[in-house]
Amino acid sequence: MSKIFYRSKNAAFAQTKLGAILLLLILLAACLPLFTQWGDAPFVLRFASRVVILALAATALNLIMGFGGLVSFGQALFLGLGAYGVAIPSHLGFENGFLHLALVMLASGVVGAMTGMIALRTSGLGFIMISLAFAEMFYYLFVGMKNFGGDDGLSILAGSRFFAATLANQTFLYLMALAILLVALLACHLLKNARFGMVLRGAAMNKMRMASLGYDVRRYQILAYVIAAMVTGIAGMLYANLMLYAAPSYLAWPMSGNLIMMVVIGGLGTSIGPLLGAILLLLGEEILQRTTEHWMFWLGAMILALALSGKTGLIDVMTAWRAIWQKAPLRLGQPGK
Amino acid sequence: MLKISHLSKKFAGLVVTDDLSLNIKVGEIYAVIGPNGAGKTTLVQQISGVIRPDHGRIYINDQDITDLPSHRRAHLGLARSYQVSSLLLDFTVMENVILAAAAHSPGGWRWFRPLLSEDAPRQAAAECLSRLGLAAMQDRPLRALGHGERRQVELAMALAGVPRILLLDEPAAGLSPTETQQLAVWLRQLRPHYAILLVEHDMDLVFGVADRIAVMVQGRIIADDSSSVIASNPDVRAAYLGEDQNIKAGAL
Repeated sequence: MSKIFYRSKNAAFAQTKLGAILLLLILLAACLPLFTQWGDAPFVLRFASRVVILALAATALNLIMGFGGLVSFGQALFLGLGAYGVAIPSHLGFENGFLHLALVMLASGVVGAMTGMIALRTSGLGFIMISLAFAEMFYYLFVGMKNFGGDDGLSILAGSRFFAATLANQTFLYLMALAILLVALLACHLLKNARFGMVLRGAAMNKMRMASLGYDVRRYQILAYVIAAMVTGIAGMLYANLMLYAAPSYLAWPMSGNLIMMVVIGGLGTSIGPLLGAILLLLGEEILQRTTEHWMFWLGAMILALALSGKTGLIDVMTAWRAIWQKAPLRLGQPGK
Repeated sequence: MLKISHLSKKFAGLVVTDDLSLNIKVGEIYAVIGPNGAGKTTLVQQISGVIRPDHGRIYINDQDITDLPSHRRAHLGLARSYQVSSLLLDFTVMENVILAAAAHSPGGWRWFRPLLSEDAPRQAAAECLSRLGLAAMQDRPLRALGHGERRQVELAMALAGVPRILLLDEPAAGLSPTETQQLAVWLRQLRPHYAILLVEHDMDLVFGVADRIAVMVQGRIIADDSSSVIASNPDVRAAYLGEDQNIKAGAL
């Protein structure tokens, strides 16, 4: 509906403006390492890397949850696999980044295909529980691997090495993560309205109808699930290089819950939503953590307020604000909505 | 084109399809009438692959499809509309119909090109919409449409995939008299090209367009003949037309 309100003669101009703003933001984000060096604030860069990496995982989750309507409560499984895909080989003395990458893609792809094929036999609550169950199974698997740190996790002495550069270098890590995130966001944006995305979204609305039209819905869903698993695996690989540490807690359900919150807060099924959600959630956490001991309470209140506003995420709230702002002179005397 | 032989289905002891056989050719509208609960929709569900029968076989063009999933049946030329509109509510009319067309157009896995800009499905969808006179509302979101308009989109989606067999489950449900007349016109236009199974409660429509009529009671076909013979069959009148108040009102 909102499209109808905004369509104007200046639509093309607005699009150019939006493109210019986006480009500027990307440039600013890319220059962040320079700023933090000047300002001598390495913790800001670390924090930004965390946002970017978790936004990448949330973007992957958005593919199956936002487009496909499948709430995976076990996405952290792949984050953990990605992290251990770096930690275990480097513990054994293999620091080659390409080896890490290949291992992570293989592990998350294979585990994704296997768990996806089983989990996607169900839908709704069943899917949520099965995806959670798989993540918990792997959680206990890593807890039990005493050779690789078990409960305590595994420290990483040197990050993934790509030729002369290593991901343990904070600037290199940040720029890599940012580049991958941008590619993932663009891909999601294009995918959304392409055949693949339309079929996924259609199946989320009405699976039976899509089947009777002639779509093998499960094939599309499994593929989306595997892609999401592999992208989350890459996020996990970057995360391990940021923390220089991998622990079973990366696979635990609070991590999956955080990713879900990011997607929902940002705007379910919108292409840029997961990034906004990650920024808002992590920034909120960081600021509240510094100002109050009971930061969880205020974070909860924020999320509650968003949920009660009846909007489907930050994007939706912003759209509504824009509509009110643009229509304000005409709307005087009318109840705002 | 569509053949069903000795189909049976029980739900927890209740017989909903009882040794049912029928045969529909291209160029024929085969109507199934019967009181509520006779098992008409269950029959449609079995043909389209949503429910598996206990016994009996279903054939499209002599190919046994009894064990095929819905999407495979669609590719063999089977399309259906639903008794309760079953549409993609967050999409526009065009997006709904183009998805129906794209399921049957080559191109397979297009990853990044917007579906709306793919030529073959776009043309097929546009053609289908203009054939039904719906081109004007192609950009409207489904949610904004009224009941009658949704029923029309329902039909457009069934046609967009260029099927050979149409299963229409109460296409006139909730339509105004004018809209029902329009539907009758369309059905007559469609008749030569498809094998049409029409499940319907609106007797004016059924007797107006159907070539054959089967009367279904408690999962069994108690009469199956040309519409003029059915209209004068005393058993049918006793068993069915006299029983159901709604139908009686519709028939008179």
